[in-house]
Order: sequence, then C-alpha cells, then structure tokens
Amino acid sequence: MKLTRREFIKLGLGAGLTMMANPFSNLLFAEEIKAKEPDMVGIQNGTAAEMFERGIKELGGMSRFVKKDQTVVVKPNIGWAKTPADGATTQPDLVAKIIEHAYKAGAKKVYVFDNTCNNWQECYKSSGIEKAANGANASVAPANKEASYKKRNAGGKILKDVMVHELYLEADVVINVPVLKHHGSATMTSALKNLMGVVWDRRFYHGKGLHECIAEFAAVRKPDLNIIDAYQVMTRNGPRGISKSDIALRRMQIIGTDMVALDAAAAKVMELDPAKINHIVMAEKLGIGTMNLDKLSIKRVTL
Amino acid sequence: MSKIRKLYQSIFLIFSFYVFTADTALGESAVRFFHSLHIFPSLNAAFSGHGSRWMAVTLMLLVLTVFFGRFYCSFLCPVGFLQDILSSLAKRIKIKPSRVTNYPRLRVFMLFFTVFLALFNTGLWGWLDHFSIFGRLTNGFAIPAVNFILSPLEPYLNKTNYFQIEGSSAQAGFDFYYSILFIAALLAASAFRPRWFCNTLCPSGALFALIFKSGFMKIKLSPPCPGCKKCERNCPSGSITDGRVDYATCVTCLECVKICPKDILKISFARTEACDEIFPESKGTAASGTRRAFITNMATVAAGIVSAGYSSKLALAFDNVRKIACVIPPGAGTAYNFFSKCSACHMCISNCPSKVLKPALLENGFVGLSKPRMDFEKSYCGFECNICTGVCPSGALTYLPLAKKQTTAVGKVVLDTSAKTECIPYKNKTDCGSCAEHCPTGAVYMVQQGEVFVPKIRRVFCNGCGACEHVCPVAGAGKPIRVVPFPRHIPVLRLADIQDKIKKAPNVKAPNAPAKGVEDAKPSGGTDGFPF
Repeated sequence: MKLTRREFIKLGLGAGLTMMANPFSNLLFAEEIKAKEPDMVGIQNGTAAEMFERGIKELGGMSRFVKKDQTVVVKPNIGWAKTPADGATTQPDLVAKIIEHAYKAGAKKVYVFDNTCNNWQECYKSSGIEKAANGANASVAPANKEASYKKRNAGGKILKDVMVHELYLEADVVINVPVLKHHGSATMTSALKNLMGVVWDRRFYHGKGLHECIAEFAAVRKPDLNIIDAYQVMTRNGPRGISKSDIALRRMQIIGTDMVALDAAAAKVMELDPAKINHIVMAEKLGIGTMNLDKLSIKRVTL
Repeated sequence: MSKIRKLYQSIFLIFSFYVFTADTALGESAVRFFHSLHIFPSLNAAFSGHGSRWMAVTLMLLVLTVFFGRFYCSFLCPVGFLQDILSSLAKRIKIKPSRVTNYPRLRVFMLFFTVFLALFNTGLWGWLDHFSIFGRLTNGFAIPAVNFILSPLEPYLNKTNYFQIEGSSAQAGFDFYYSILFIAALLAASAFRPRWFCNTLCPSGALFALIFKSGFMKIKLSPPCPGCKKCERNCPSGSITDGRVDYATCVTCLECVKICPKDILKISFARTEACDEIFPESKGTAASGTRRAFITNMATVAAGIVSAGYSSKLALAFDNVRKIACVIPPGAGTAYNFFSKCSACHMCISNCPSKVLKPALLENGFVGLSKPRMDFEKSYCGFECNICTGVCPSGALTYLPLAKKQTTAVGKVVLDTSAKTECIPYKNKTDCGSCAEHCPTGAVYMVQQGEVFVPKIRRVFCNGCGACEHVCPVAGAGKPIRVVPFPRHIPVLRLADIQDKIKKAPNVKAPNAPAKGVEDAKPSGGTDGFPF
C-alpha cells in the first residue's frame, strides 16, 4: 500500500499543484484523462461476465484499479436467500469474473461479503455467490456478527458514528457490485444503496432518514470501482421480489468510478428520473459525484 | 465402568448432541433413525397418525430388548451415561450408595402414567421422557453454557465462517435453570441410589424392564459364591443384593460379569423363572402371584391411567388453547394439536437456522411452557426454510413442503396507521420501508403518500413470518407493525400466482436486448439502445 501511495503521489503531485494554482486547470486535466479512458462504460447485449470483460477493457483494464499485492474487497448484493434467476442478488458469474481479473492484476487476496437481510448462510448459498467466489479462489467472509465491524465517524448531518465492516475499511481496493433493482422506499437500489451491506446497524438508517444516511455514508469511503449489474432488472416489488414476472431481462452493465453518475444512469435504465431519487440528489450535493451525465465521457458498447 | 461401554456411551452421546444441534446436517435417514430409537416420541407420533416406516426400528429395539436386555439403557442412553458419570463422581468422594431396591410400584405407575399421557393427547409426558429431557439439557443448558465459556473468544470466532457463537448474547432462560435443577437432582439421586432416574421415573426404562422380565439374556449366579460382594459394590444400578439380581432394575451392562473374580456370574440365555419381576414384592408383603399382589398391581396400573387422564384434562383446562400470545411454528396445524403433542424436546428450536424459535416461558400459558414459539424480537421465520416441520420426532409438527409452508399463515400482520402511530413514514415523514423490504409475500408494500413512501398491508397474502415486525426500526414494545398469532393455521394466497395470471409486469417495457431474429443486428454506435 505504501508503494502505491508513493507512486500515486509522485504521479499526481505536478498535476495537483497546477490544479490548486489554476481553477480552470481542473477542466483541462479532466479533458486529458477523457482522451484516454472514459468515465463510464455502458455495455449491453451479453452475459454479465462477458459484458464485464469488455467493459473493464474499455476502462483501461483492472490493473488501473488493482495493483500488485493489494487486498481487494468485492461487495456484491447477496441480501436475499434467492437464486440468481430471481434477480434479487448480483450475478455469480460476474462476481467470479471480477475476482479473476483482480487476481490477474496482482491482487494478494480478494474478499467477498455482504451483511445479508435473510439468514446469511442461506443467502451466500442460494445466491450462488459463495460457490462462484470460492471457485475463483476468493475468501467469502461472514458479515453477520458485530465482531467484524468497526466504528467510524461518517461526519454526516444524520449519520455520525457508524459501524462499518473492517474489511471494507482495511482493504486497499473496494469494488462495489450492486444489482439494479426497484426499492419500495428508496425507489431504486444501486451503487449508493448497495453500501448499506457493509454497515451493521441498518435500523438506524431506516429510523433516522434512509436517503440522508445512504448519501452521507459515501464520506466514509468511496469504492474504487463500481459495476452495476443490470443483466436482470427487478422493476417492481423490490428489493426482494415476489415472482419472476417482477424481473426484466435488460442484459446491461454500467461500470465506472463515480457512484452518483452510475446511479443516475442506472435510474434511466429503470425509466426513472434520477433527480427524483433523493439519495442520488443528496449525494451529489455532498460532492460524492455528479448526476450530470453530459459532463462525462461515456463509452457505450453493444456486444 | 468398562471401557467398551464407556466408548459406546460416548459415541452415542456425541451423536445425540450432534442430532440435537445440527440435525439437518446429518441427512434425513440418520435423523429418523435416531428419532426412532426413542420410544415415546415415536409412539406419540404414531398415536397422532404420523408414524412412519421408521417405526420398524422402534419395534426392532423392543424385540432386541427381549433378547439382550436393557442394552439401550446401559450402552446408549445419554441420560444413563450422565448418571453413570455422576455416580462415579459420588463414589470418588466416598459417598456410599444405598442398595435398597428402588420403588417398583412407582415405576409401574410412571410407565402407565406416561403412556396414557401420550394417549390422552398431552405433551406432559415430555417432562418424564429422557429423550425430551436430553433435548432440553442440550439446548437449554449445554449450548448457552458453551456460549458463556467461549464468550471471551467471541471477537475471533465470529469473524470466521467455521464456528460462530452467540457468546454473551446467549440467553439463560427457564430451561437453563431447569437443567441445573435436574442435573443437581440427578447428582443427588445418583449418589445415593444409582440409576435412580432410570429405574423410578423413566418411562422408557420401565417399558424396557417390563419386556426384559420375559426376556432371555440374563445375569445368573451359579454357586458356590464366596460372597466377596464385588459385583454388588460395582453394579451401576444397584441391582444385586445378596447374590440375587433384581431383573427389573438390571440394565444388562455386564459390569458384574466382568468384575467377578471367580467367573461364577454368567450370562445365560435360558429363560429364568426365579427372579424379581417387574412387579416385585419385597419380602414380608404379598408374594408375587398371589391375588393380593395382582390386585395391588392392577390398582397401580389403574392409578397411572386415571392420573394421566386427570392431568391431561387439567393441563388443557388450565389454559384456553384457542388463545395464544406468540406464534407457534408452521406445521403445527392448530394450537390444540401442537400443545397436546409437543414434548418440548427442543429439536426444532436448536435446528432453526434463523433462531426465531425460542422456548416459551408462560407466554402461551402453562401448556406452552418450554415449547417453541416464534420470538420476533430476536429474528423472523425464513421464507425459504421449512426445517422445523421436518425434524419433529413426536408428531407435533407435520412436514410441510416448502411451497405449502410458504402459503400457510401462522399469524397475520397488523399495521397501526392511526394518528398515534409510531410508524416512521407516517409520523416523521421520512422514508423507511424496512417492513416492505423484508416482506417475502408482498403483504406489506409501499405506496407514495405526499413526499414519502408509506407502508400498506394486504393481509390475504401474509403468512405471519414476522420479518416486518423484526426489522421495524421502532424500538421497544410499541412497534407499529406486528404479527398476531393464529391458533389455527390457515392457507393463504400467493401474490406471485395472482399477479402472474392477471398481467405480465405491467410497468415494464420490453427488454432492451434485440428481439429474437435480430440478434445479430448491431446498433451503429452512438447511444443506440442506451437510455443514458
């Protein structure tokens, strides 16, 4: 980790100084990056694993995010004791593919976990993610006991002290892999909402202000990479789903670093107006990212 | 204790612990086999129409007893093992056990009392049956005790998948103290009267003794005996007095045969006529075979039956079983069926993966004491799970296939939407939706009301799993969403079936992927097909 930081500082120092000196350089600098890699990649028309394979290539490969000997946390949505076909959890083949790429990029250890809503063992098993992750040599960690959580100050207006899974805090790289779903009270669950799965006390969120807490949690740590699994999209009765008819096959995936931008794009996939989804709007106000997709370079790939 | 017997007892003890704590991990056959080794739960299941082919094993056990005596008691029974350990401990501290015969009539009374408690449909026999007692010792005492002992290791253990514990949050409930009392009583009894429980209270022991009376393999003393009394002193059930073996209490452990220095104690397969019987008469009272003895014996049997009848009446009259305060597990059918068949062996409780099943104190009245109830404070019933319905040895819970279990209502949701409600979206006008999020049936759903989504309920779909009540972030007793228990479980509709029939995903446009036949048609770039 030290090496990486040093490298990063070396590389970024010059640019950083220029940016501080010149308020317009920010735009210029962003433009430079744009020329190289897009901010966001949308892929459609493949299996979840195929789309990721292509998408990460467009983004400059996994080695852009994972360096040698780093520990990586892959955080899929494993919330419910349902099968991959039910669309309530992230596609297991996608999780396996991400782990594979992380190891190829030189990761020392990859962890997979989620603080599930249903019984954790049943969720890990029936979602197929435990098997897929173990198959890809990742370590599937439990998140069902308070012993795994550490207190952090999120410094939000509502969310102050929050118990966060220690792997999420300690890992060098965090890869957020939500599945796109309708949500009864949050309207939509995607990248920002998926991070509720690294938090111990979710009742606090629900009790004190769901949208505010979701947005404010991003201050604790932003994932280094977000992959929105929209292979199957739950369009109603979310986040658990009642039957298979709640699911629409979209065969789509959105990859990028900006959770807010990704969620805004994901909302459009759900045919929703991101400006009406409170936690996305709040996150933008907190400076987590931008909802304005026109400002970003988006690469769209149809397989 | 001979080593081989210790080995058998230890293996069976571990097996018993394992069945009681990780039932489903063993596979159905092993579990059913274990259940069928226990007469009273199996009989009770058969009485209630839930007998299975595994009853053959139960009958086989009884047949084997005819030939080999009470080998179950001496080589297998975990409660017997516990007594052996306790009495050898007592011996260490130089307590001399009494050689006085146990109370033979009490034993007969207990046998008939228990059989008829089962026949008369009360679960009360569970308080005497060693299987159910062992279950309560395991779940009520051993598991919390292990949790307390290991609680310093909690931060390390709970970070792994391998051996998670509840640690300090494990609860010492009624069964914990009951178990301590039971073990203390057993210790005291075993110190002074070895195997006192087996030969006085245990109905299975009494049944085995009754069969053994007319059995084959027996211990016989062939004179001349120098009278060293080694066998007497070492008999774990105190059944040898002056060279006479009391076959009613002998558990065929063969300790005496092994210890006899002259090898004059022999196992004989010849049927013996002269022995103390299941209705033994101590010298001085009526000798066996007399009319007086017959009358006394019959009176004992009658007393057992009559007491069982009154106890069952009393137990059920004590409570109005139509009213229950806590949800009872799926598969119970009706509260009456459940309370009258359940022996509180805790098999379902220790196997519940979500740990929603907890032994009741007096929430469901006296008949519900120590029997499972759903504790929505602690957890909720998993929608994709039907384990408890499959592990009940005594027929109180009937097996429900998953689809049936999902559509059986054990209770119904109620939601307080009044002006005084504590429900967060109604009261604070902020989004919450925990209940609807967790609802597996669609009985609780969210509707936009002004700026926020508020919960609404469709009770027809609710199966009473309690997820909504458990996850509701409102603290304390005033939860706005609760599940009201049903004393009679009823079938419910599935929203999934109905919504599939009515219309296919109404608010969903066709998937973005190209329709069939145009699979190869690649959009020419730009934002084709992408909504963003």
